[in-house]
Amino acid sequence: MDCRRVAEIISGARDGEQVPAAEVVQAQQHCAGCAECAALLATIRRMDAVPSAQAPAALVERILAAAQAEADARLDAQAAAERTAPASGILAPLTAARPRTQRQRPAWWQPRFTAYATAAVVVLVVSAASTYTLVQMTRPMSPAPAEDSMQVASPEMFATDEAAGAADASAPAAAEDARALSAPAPAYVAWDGWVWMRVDGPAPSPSDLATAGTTVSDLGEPGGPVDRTVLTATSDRAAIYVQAADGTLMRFTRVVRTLGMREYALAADGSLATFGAWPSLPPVYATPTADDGSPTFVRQGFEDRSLDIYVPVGTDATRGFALAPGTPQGDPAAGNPYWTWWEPVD
Amino acid sequence: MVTHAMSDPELVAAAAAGDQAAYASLVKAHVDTVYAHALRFFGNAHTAEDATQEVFLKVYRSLGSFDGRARFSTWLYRVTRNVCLDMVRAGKRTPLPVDPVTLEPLSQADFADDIAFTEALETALRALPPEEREALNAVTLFGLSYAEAGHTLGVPDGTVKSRVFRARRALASLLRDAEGGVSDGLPTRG
Repeated sequence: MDCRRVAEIISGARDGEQVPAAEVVQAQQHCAGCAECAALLATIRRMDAVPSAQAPAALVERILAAAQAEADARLDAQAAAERTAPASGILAPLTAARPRTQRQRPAWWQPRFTAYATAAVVVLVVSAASTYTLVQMTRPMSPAPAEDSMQVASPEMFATDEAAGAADASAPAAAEDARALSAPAPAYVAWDGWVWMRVDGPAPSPSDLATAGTTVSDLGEPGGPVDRTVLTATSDRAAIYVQAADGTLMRFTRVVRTLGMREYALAADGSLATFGAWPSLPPVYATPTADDGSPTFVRQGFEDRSLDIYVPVGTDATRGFALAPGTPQGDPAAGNPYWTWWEPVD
Repeated sequence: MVTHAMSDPELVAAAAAGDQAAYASLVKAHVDTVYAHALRFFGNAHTAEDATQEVFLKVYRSLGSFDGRARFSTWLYRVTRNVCLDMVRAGKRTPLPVDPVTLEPLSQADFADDIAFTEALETALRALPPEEREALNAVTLFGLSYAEAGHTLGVPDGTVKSRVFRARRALASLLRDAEGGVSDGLPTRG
């Protein structure tokens, strides 16, 4: 047995590797007559015996104080937002109202749909206590220009809603803020319940491609949205391909963000039939009427970019989370004026 | 109420629900590990403290997103590694590798003292190639398995294993030299 193998055995055994007993005995015998391997064994034992560098006690106090200060600042900001701009949380979703198209859900959606539908019923019952919410719920799901939304959010609407308080005072400014946040979406298509964004990448060979389904999109071309065949490649399972009119294969990948080492992808609410259109919440979730996500969601924590995430009342982020509009530049949802839903990518 | 019997996932859940005492317990349980990694990475106590504070603030902000699918120590290692690398990328800090020749020989008596041994060990650790030091820290400081470390570092398990044992052989040789023993030079790599 040479020194390298002995080092592997000693090192691996220390780290919990399964080593045959006979090899351990051989390694021990080797160490008895080899100064270098004996030194290695002694060093490993000594390293485990001595404590690692210890953080100064004052550092722990600083960390805890900083965390407390951050928690306090968040609470203060929340309270200030509730005091000064109650209308912003109400108007933003209204200006976000837009037509939603029904789509064919893939098979995996059916069991989820039952659960989501149940949750939606609960939310609707709770919401019935609010006159404003009732009116909101009975609005037809049809295109609503910003002016129309502004009209719906008139002071009269909030007259019987105690929670809305002085909503009318800041309504115009809030609507302006919501519009200012908006920007054209990247080149998106919707397929299989997810939003896919066009990205550059190598074109797979034709023999590697297989038809996976269809989507409706204009692909940014004249003529409007039409049915498009969606192709997948066995060599690139992270992407889908859609063929443009000139034969070019456009490559798309999911729009993702991470939360606790897990990847979450943007869920599609409809067909996203034109490039530049933004997705919003899937229809099973009522658009929140306040910045804090209520009555549909509650704030649950932060994703890896430290953005607030929201989950349906009584659940956690295991099955997904919502994100409020207004995410900063560089975020995958930057410029989207709508609430969005993100689900884990299995 | 936080008790010592609470596991890391339980502490995380409690802290995410707003229990500051649970968060304090998490910090106290892992602060030395994070600090030791940062100290080995930067070679500077002040920078290591900055990095450690940043790590635990990131953890604090992300408590609600920890879903327990991975061990907390694996998550913490990833956050720690990313914070250190981000500080370097931002140009604010520079890792300080130490050349083996700067190791001052210590007497046998000095090495009987844990503090002296630890100092020599920490200095020798900084002389290791970064990839070996990273693998060794992941396994020995954070207690990750080869598979967990490999997943985080983006290399196969076997690569982690070989980096760790090469690091240990190098350390043993460096410490023997520093101790005043016969110098055989660094073990052959590869």
